[in-house]
Amino acid sequence: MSQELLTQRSAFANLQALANQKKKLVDLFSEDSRRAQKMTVSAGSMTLDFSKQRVTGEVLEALEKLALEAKLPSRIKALFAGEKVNISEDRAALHTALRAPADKRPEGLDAVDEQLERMAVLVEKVQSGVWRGFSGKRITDVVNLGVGGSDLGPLMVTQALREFTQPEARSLKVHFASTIDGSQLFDLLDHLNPETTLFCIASKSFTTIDTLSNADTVRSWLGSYCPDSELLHRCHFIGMSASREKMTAWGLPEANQLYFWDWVGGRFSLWATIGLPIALSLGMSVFRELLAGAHELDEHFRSAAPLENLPMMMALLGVWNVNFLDIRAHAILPYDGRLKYFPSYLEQLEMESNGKSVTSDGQPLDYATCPVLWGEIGANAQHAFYQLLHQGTQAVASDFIIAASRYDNACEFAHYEQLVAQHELNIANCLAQSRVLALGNAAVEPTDNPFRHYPGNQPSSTLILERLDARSLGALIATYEHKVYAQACLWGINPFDQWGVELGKQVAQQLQPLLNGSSSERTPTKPVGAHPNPVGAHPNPVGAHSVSDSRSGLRSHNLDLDSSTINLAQLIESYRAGSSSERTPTESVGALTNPVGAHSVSDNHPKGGQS
Amino acid sequence: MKLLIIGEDLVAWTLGAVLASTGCSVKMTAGALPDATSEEVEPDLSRLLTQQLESGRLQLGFNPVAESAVLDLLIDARDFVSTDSILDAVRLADFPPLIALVQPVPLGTTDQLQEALNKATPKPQQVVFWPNFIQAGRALESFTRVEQLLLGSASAQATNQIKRLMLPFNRSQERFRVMTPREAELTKLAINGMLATRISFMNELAQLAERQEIDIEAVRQGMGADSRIGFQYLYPGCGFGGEAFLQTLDQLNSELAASQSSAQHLLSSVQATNEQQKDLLFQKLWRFYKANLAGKRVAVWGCSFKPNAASISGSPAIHLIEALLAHNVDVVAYDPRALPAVKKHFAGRAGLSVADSPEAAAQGADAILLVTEWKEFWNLDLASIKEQMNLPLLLDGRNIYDPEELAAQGWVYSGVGRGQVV
Repeated sequence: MSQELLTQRSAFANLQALANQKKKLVDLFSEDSRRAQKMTVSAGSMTLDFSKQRVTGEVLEALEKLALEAKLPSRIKALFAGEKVNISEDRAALHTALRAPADKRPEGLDAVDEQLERMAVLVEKVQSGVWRGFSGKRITDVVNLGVGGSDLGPLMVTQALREFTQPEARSLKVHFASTIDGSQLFDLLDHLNPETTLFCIASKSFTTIDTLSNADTVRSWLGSYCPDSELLHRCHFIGMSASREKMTAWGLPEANQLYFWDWVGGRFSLWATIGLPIALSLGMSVFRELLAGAHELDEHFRSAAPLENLPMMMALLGVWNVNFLDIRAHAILPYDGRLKYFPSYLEQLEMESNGKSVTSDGQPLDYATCPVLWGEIGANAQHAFYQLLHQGTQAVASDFIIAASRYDNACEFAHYEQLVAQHELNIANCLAQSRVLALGNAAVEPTDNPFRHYPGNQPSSTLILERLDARSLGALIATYEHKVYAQACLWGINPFDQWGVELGKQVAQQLQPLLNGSSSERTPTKPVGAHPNPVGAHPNPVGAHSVSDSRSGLRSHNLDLDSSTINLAQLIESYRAGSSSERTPTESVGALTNPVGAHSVSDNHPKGGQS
Repeated sequence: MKLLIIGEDLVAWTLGAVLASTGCSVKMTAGALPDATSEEVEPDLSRLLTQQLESGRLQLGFNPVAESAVLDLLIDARDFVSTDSILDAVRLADFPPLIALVQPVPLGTTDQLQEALNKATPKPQQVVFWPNFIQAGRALESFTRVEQLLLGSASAQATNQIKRLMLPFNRSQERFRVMTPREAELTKLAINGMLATRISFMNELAQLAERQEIDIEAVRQGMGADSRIGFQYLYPGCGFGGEAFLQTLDQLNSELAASQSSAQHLLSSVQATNEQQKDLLFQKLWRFYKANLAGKRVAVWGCSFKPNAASISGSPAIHLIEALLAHNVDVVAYDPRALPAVKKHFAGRAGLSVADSPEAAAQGADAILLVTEWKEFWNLDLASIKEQMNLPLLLDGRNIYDPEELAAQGWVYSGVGRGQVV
């Protein structure tokens, strides 16, 4: 049976008719004084207020029908049971099993406990000072080398939960470096001590060129202090990957390898050993709390009825906004400085999952899927892009996120009362913004000044956490994961693959030798990770015909790149040649023009890229 | 003079024995003499205590609730007790006229106690701060032949009473230095802070010397000969310990931290350097064996925090044994006095055994770590010990051996800052 399209569902026409009524938020609120009380849904200590969405009881009823028609309950069951919901890659997506207690996990997944336990042992070793660098000193700094799912999740969580750092984790500083250009590393290596720094190489495939080129640079940096390569690998690197072979080939001893599985998607992998930097930075108990919080939400998602199901409600409201109200932008607005990286985390989770235009079995869609999603700490965004939300020409839906209680563990500070006052001001701002976005002019004194005209009617939801801690953050992340899955089911797409990101990687791999080769002092080398079968490229993925066609085209006409790209490459090379000739020879050797990582690292390290 | 001494550590026992021996009637709350091998006493102290007990001038197990006694002086020798707890003791003893605090206290404690007592009773009472300089390993000597007697007192009468008490040990010249209680409280902390700073500074120099292949021993001699510096507390080594010493440093550290806006002050570096030094021998071992330590056998010579002491409190040996066990090293410890404390501390942990001689500890070992410079280690027959070892590696944490001599014997030897990089 082929995947049914959203537009083919019988609820679709009904919803379209309802949308055509073009109800305005200001009217919806005046029609029903109890609207705000009615339109909430809760999961644990988290509540979603969706009264400022442009929905009525009728719309909700129709959305519920849509959910049932799309068989969401059985699709959820399939997800949790480990069925191969990731069709194009022919595998399960069992991130929920990573946070389930052993007795609630699908059978045959004992390895989850085993890896979690190995991770706990390793964390304890590093935090207690048993783990030593090559010179015998204890580890003071950890750098996570990873990108995408191997970076954003751990970075976001460590930032959000810093105040819950356990005593055993306090002396360890955890840093993140992700960018392929090496800039973050360049800054870090400037002040880190090679004797006391441990590097975590996080890559599901262990071929991600961004991460592996950073790792090779680090290895070269460490090598200048510790000539013993075996000692260096053993004391300064931990790998987290689904490929044991590639970790071993890179030089990591077995004891330094943490494993996860191909059925864990990269952007769902913070629950697996990719969460190592979270545990190192905050404490293993905090990581376990995070898992427990996510599991509680999992239980809610798999058991609550559609309109009482918080993630499902978010998914349905999202589809309503995109496909019926034609709102193609979605802002994530946490009113909490700790959630600084949450919007960028969600950008990947939502847009990499649901930025698709074919069904899970490869048919083209005739409707929109994931909106453009972006965000910022709400109160800061008020000074940045809120102008566009209030008076611009784009329709934008928003998620406001706020913790009700804050600073309750800071009451011994002299400035406690000031802090609480700031939190209250923050809440007031959050509530004011959603009100003005919804009601526009009606929320203020009427005026005929055109510059003070507020059209309003921008829908939003407000997600209220009792407080932000490891448990509630786990639940918050799981909420969005499940929203993404439910939406994918409604749209008929596969949220667990990402064929769109493959092509650019491959063209880049073909271009790099061109840049290397045209520079006379460089030896042309095969880039690290260049591999006949690059990252995740399945020989014949279901439904990915167009992608694989263009890939094979590139392969058969090696460097058959259009002239604009060649021109750009030549232009850049001419700038590089010009800038290096202006410098004295000693300067050009220096790291300034050739930031860490720009060397063809495979020169120095025969092992690099030989996987 | 009739005294009551509260407390049961080395300081309390030393005060009790010495003051009883001068003719005082001394009551102690401690119930029984400590075992002669315990870290609360030393051999000569143990003998003196027995004598005084037999003479009847020393009475143990005094219970102020059950018995009443007219006292001239109450000495509180307990470590880090709260003001409330001292107040309770004073109340139980029915407010003796003079109270002396002899352990380091947070700044201002003496005055606070005086104020509290003024409120609590109409009886005239004086509190003085009379810090002890009793050193483990030479407790009796360090109490009776002290360079200076520091006294923080706000009352001339109280000052005279303490001076009179110590007159038998203060005849040839006046060694009392009297100041306000707060001045004396800080002086006590400051002396220890200064000593620790000298040692950590030497250790920092030793690290530099080692990297530059300079012998720190020659440098130490040259520095010490400068009369502005002097020779005391200039030995680099694998870290200092001792409960009282470390506690006063912690206390000074927190006083400094509380009064400064920046978290970084000199004494915190001094302590950090000391922690690094405690780890030094492990790091050398790690480097020598290129991080392959599992299954190695290592002898630890000396476990007490200093020679002649039985206490392991804050001793580098404890830190080192922990680190070695964590890496599955078989550890054989030897110490003339501290083994009971070591056994108690590690309570049957796998991988640790004890030997009854340095030679036995070194049997089949892959390394010797010399941690405490007991006199009996200085002139051992190292040549024959070397023959019994699996690999003759000697990491000397106290610089008691001559590097050239050991090298000539075929040892792989490394002291602290003596130019040989391991």
